[in-house]
Amino acid sequence: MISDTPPYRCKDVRERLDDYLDQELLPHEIQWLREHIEACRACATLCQCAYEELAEMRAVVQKETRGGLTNETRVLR
Amino acid sequence: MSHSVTPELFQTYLAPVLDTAYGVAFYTTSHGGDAERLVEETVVRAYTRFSSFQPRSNFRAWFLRLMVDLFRCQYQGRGSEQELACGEAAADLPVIDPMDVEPRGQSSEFPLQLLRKLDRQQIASAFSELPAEYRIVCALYFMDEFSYAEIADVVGCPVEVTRSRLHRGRKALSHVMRTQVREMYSLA
Repeated sequence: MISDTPPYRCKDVRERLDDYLDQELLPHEIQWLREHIEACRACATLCQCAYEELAEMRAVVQKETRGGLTNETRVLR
Repeated sequence: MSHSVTPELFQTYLAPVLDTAYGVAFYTTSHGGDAERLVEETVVRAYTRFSSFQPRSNFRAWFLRLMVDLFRCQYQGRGSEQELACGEAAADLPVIDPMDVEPRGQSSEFPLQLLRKLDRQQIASAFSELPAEYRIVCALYFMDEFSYAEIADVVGCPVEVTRSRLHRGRKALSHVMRTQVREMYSLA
């Protein structure tokens, strides 16, 4: 059972991690989650790793298709 | 409110969207030629329907919605029935077992920067491991800064369905991309 009240436990943080990284949590959820990770080194590491991985994935996904279209498609004929 | 359709006006809206559209098309079709064709066909369709576009609304989302519909019609051969697109069961991730996905944070020693060494074919290959509806959602997510609600609007599915597909899809992508890196560099 995932808690919807503070204090958040580790499993509450894991459950909400993706939403947190995507800035889809409500303000009070963000606050409760941050309160937990300030006190929990394991969850702080988890969040940091997940954030960095997402950034790396986004960077490589975008980089590899940049400029992929030919000029013919770019110009309305 | 209708507006006069001129190539110049259309081009003004279109130009900032093309890179994102191509990226989404590339990772959705997993093929450069198909992606270019899909974008071209969407450009034609968008131009013919441009008079119905509301100038104050989001052209990017409108254009991508047209493209997703075209992909469903032409590349999946199953029409644009939203019920089908949104109704796929949770078990529709046949290739990668979500339970097999590496728990994040338990592998902090993995050299994340090596993900950038993957080339476009490897990334396309990772996307191709996902079912089509997951590929679409993940491609939209990674190619742009869309919120869940905006992605849901583009794909025509409820936000919760979109959210679930995105979370599961990107965990699966992470798993495949990490595996590719490990194989490239003979990592444990």
